[in-house]
This record gives sequence, structure tokens and C-alpha cells, in this order.
Amino acid sequence: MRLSTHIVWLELRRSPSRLVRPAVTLTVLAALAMVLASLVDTLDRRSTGVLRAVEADLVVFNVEARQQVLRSRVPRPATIGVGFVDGVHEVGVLSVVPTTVTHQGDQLRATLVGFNARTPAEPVRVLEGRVPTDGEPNIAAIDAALQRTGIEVGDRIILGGSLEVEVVGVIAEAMFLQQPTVWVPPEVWARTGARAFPERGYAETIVGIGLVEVQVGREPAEVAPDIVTELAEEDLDVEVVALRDALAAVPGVSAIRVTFGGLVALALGVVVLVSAGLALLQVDQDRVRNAELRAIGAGPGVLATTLLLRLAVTWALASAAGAVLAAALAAAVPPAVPLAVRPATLATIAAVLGMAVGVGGAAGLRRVSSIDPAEALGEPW
Amino acid sequence: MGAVRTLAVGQLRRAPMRTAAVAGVLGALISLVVVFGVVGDAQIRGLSGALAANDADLWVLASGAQGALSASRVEPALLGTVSAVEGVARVAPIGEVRVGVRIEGGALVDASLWGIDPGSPAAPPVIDGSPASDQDQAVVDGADAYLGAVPGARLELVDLPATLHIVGLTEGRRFASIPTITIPYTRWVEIVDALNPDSDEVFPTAFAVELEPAADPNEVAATISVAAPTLVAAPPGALATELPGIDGLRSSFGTAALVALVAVAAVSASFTRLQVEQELRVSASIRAIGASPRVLARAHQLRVALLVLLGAILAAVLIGLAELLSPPRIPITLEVRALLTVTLATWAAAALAARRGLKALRALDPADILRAPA
Repeated sequence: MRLSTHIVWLELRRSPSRLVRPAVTLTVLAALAMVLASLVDTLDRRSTGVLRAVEADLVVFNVEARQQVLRSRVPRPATIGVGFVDGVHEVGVLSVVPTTVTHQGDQLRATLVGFNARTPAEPVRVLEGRVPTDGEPNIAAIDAALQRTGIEVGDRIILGGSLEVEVVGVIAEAMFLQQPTVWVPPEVWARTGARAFPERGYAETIVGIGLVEVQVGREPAEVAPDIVTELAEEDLDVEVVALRDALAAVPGVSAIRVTFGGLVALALGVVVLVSAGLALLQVDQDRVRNAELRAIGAGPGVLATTLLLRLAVTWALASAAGAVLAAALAAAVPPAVPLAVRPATLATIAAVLGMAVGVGGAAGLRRVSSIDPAEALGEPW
Repeated sequence: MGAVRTLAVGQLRRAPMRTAAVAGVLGALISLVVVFGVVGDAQIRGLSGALAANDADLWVLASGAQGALSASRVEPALLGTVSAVEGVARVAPIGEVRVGVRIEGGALVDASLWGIDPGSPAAPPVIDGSPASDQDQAVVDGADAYLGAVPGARLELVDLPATLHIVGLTEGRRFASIPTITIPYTRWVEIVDALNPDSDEVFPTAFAVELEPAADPNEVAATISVAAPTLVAAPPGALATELPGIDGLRSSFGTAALVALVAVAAVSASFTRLQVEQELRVSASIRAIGASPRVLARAHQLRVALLVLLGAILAAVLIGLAELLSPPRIPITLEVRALLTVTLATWAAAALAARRGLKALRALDPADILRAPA
């Protein structure tokens, strides 16, 4: 290992381009994979942020809504009834409606979220200030995406073109269907919603979805059928699904996952192939030099370790540079482009790339072990 | 030229595995860039085609909806106000609502139900069958034929005891990436009324406007907003670009295609440079037996072009295979123009890289072959 490290170190000093050049190619591939994976991740999160912002085990929809948050209209008695089901720790309600936010003359689209404070429907991560509590008139919290447009705590904004509210807090980014969100008490939501959808009328007694936290030690999958059965006895038809399934049912999410996710998987496959190919090309390039090393006494083990070490250095350089490139691109693109890099995504892609290079290297090991020292003389014996 | 061709083809033949590997990598990357572009366009058409390809001159929405169709409700009484605006030839209501349907008794799917009269300026053109003129007739987008939505099929609305019959197909008119059904407006009003039994009135989602031949769309749109301040008018194509999510999706696919294009150019350049450098010794040998640096450079460039061409052919095969094997939800098609553009960009990058690598050839002394290590 020491000899291999020495060989790689000397090579890096003698001709850095031999190591850096393949690293540059691999960097481009790493950046490609990281950007693509981050795009899918961001698109997904910006569609489902509202549901990701809360900590609930189960989501209750009315049956007709077919798991669509925008369409769900669970009657208030149903959400009260859920609270009495065995195994349910707490239940809260959450409703959404498209709206507009006007701030200092600028108008932009947003999603208005009505929620019960101090229940599983309350957003978990508050970055600044506080979230509104039930019954408080004309106040709201905004998500970080809306804050980036210039709205701050203490500012006054106009919802739906007519209702002025004061911003009292900022929560972590919780976008819904690619739009930022404004979080208000249920009464404010009901008033704004009635203006947006007049055919539905004023509906304070109707909520969008119920969010359920089950008791410690109880399995959500066991509690869900009990809720359905219990409410069916009251002639209330609801559908109860795990939060994960509710996320997948948000409009466009499955299309993003199937289409974009499929293409990204394909891209990752190509990146894996190219990375493995690059590793093999490296072995080919070093064939003559390896034959010379064999001729002067280096064993196959030393050559194999040297190869793997070189590939590891290449991979480390490429992964780090690829991550920097992806992060720089994410910082440079306009906010409309859904590209936000997360360390977890970058680390996953770096690991996949490492495996690909490893596979290429493993194939290369066979070639290294079969190198004939006589090749150093120019002609195979 | 004969010597150049012999050398280039000979190099490819001597190392068939390497030729296949490089062409394979280029083919995979080229196909990836093309597919990103094609699928991105198809996805955006599927999300917004009902507006983007609409034939009406203007659509009138509620101004508070901020272009979000699902949030737009226009006062039916304002139809007369818009009709009276100078330059407006015809106005018709448009309705859109999400419903659950079963196509031919199949699985329950979400659908976008549109109420547009066949004579409306916004009516989708029928490419197969006939327009939906009867109350229980419907026109659907041909992109959903894989779900069984073809003329003659039955559509059951799951929330109502109502059945529609498909009589015609349109194309490029999908909305929200879900099956898109068009029925007469009066039937749409009946369905929305039945879905909301407590409501007093059903509001149209928008108005479609046909202008008089000499009318200026911008002027008429401005006049409509003055006549009815709660309304906003714009060409449907412009509204399509403002639909929620379209911007993000368009920029995502655009970014993905651009980054993939940069990657394919960089990889092709890098592989080419690596190969040129690996073969300097062989080049020196050929130089020693009389080949000029120009012949060697041309041979290398010809080989690069052949490799990229092989990659492009492979990409076409891969895209064709993907078209056959991919699920209908991923609409992959082979677009020759996109393939040619990406291939040219790949070739240009590889040729430039080869040119840089070949600089060493000019300085190559044929005697090097006698003293260079094996």
C-alpha cells in the first residue's frame, strides 16, 4: 500500500495532468448526475412542501376527493370523530386554496393554507417569529420561498386581492404545486376560500384534510382502517392514507417521478457506464507503464492497489468538484428554476459514482493481473 | 484521401471493442440529450396544450386568479359586457373542472372535464370522429388512447350517475397531464351543478373571444379590462406559459438538456484527446514510414467523425427502442432535427479536442520511434 501510495504521489507531482484530465471528465459527469437528481428532488419538494412541513402519520380525505388535497372537503364532524378513534393521539385540519399575495404593489400567486395550531397540522420548522393560532384575526405566517420575494415579519400583505393580514412568522420552505404558501387560521382560510370558489359557499364547517398523529407504540397502518370503520358508522365516508401515499397523490408528483425520475435514472445509468468505461480506458493507457513496473519487479498486487488508488483519487476529486459545480449552478440560476442542492442528494450521487468507478476498476484489475512484463520490450513474447 | 480513409478505418477495425465502447458512450449520451428535449416538450404540451394550442384569439379570466385556471370564476353576466367591446366578434363561455372517470369500466382516473360548445372559438379541432354536439357526447385527446379513450368508448363519471360517449378525438389539447374531455357547455353546467348541490349558480371558468379581422388583440384585451375590471384578457398561448408549474417544468427540462449537452461535448472531447495521446506512438511509426502530419491529422479527424456518426446511429436505435418499450406516460419520439443538432455539437467538441491533441503530431520526429520506450 505504501509503495502504491508513493507511486501515485510521484505521478501526481510528475505529471498532474494524467490524473487531473480524467478527473475533469468525471467531474462533468458527476455534476450532470448531481444537477439532474437535484432537479427531480426540488420539483418533488416544491410540489409537496405543504405535507412535508407537518409531522403527521396519517391523512384523512373525503372519499370523493380521491386523495387530492385541493379537492378534499372533510366535514368538521368527521375530524372531531377521528379524535375519538382508539390509537389516535391527536388530529388537526389543513385546507388549501389558490390565492394571490399583494405586497407593496407587487402581486404574485401563492397557496393559502388554513390550519389548526398546536395540532399535527401545524408546520414544524419555524424560522422566524411564530405561527398564527386559531381564532387570531388577520395574521399569517409565510414560507421561506415567499420571504425570498422580499416579504418580512411585520409586513402587511393582501390575500386574494381584498383581505389585509400582518405577517407574524416565517416557516421553512413549504411550497405546494410549485407555489409559495401563506399559513393562516381556519377562519381566515374559509373567508378567502369562499371568495375564490363562490359555488362552494362559506365553509367554516368544512375542512380540506385531517392530519392524524397516532399514539406511541401504535402502527399507523393498523389505526387507519379503524378510523374508516368508525366514521362509516356515522355515515361519513373517508379515505385514510399514510403521509407518504398522500405525497405521491399530489397532482403532478407521480408524473414528475415517473417521467423525470425515469430519465434521471437513465442518465445515472449512462453516467455509471461512462465512469466504468473511463476507468477501463485508464487501465489501457497505463498498460505500457504497468508492464515496465512488472518488468522491474512490482507484483500484480502493487499494480492493482495503484490502479484502485488512482481511481479513488480521481473519484474524490471529481465528486468534490462536481458538488461545487452543482452548488454553483444552483446559486446562479434564477429562482424560477427548481434547482436546490441538498447534501444528502450530492452524497448519494457521489456514492453511486464511486461504485461505478469501482466496477470499472474491478474489471480493470483483471487486465492489470494479465499484463506480461515482456510487453515492456515492445513485442509480446 | 484513400490513405486517410484506410488509416482511419484501419484504426477503428484494429480495436473493435474500444470503437464499440466509445460509440456506445457517445450514443447513450446523445440519446439522453435528445430524449430530455423531446419528453420535456411533450410534458409541457400535456400540461398546457388545451391553452397553448387553442384557436381563440383571447381568453378572459377572473383577474384575481392570476392566470391559475383552477382559481378563475367569471361572472356569467359579464359575457354581455365582453361581447359589447369594440373589435369582439364572438364570445363563448368555457368551463373546466376535475372529475373522476372510468373509461370503459376500467380503473378510476382523474380527468379534466371541459365545457366548450362545438361552435365556440375555443372548440378543439376534431381529427377523428365528430364534434360533441349531443348532451352525452364527448371529445377526448388522442394521447389518452392507451387508456381506452377512443371513439365509441364509454366514460362514467364516478361522482354522478352520468355516462358520456366518446365520439371524436383531438390532439395536442391535454390539460394538467391527465385525460382531457370536452363536452357541450350546457352539459358541463349540469354536471358542475350536480357536483355542488348547495350552489346557487355555476360560474364559467373563462370566456373565449374571437376578434374581428382588423382588431388588435392587445387593444381589445385592454378595453375588456377597463369595461370589466374583475376580468383580464390575454391570448391563450400567453396564459399557457403562466400556468402554475409550467415555468418550473420548462426550466427543469431545459436545464437538464443543457447540462447533458455540455456533458456529452465534454466527454466526447475528453475521450478523443485520450485516444489521440494514446496513439502518438503508432502515429510516430506511420510518420516514420512516410505519412505526412497532415495525412495523420486528417485520418484522426475522419475517425472522430466516424465515431460520432456511429454514436448518432446508435442513439437513433436507442431512442427507437425507448419509443417502443417506454410506458405511454413517457412520450418518447425520435426527433431527427434534435438528433442532428446534438450530433453536430458532439462532433464539433470532439473535432476541436482532436485538433488540440494533434498539435503534438506536428512536432513529432519520426526518429522518436527508434528511441521511444515501447
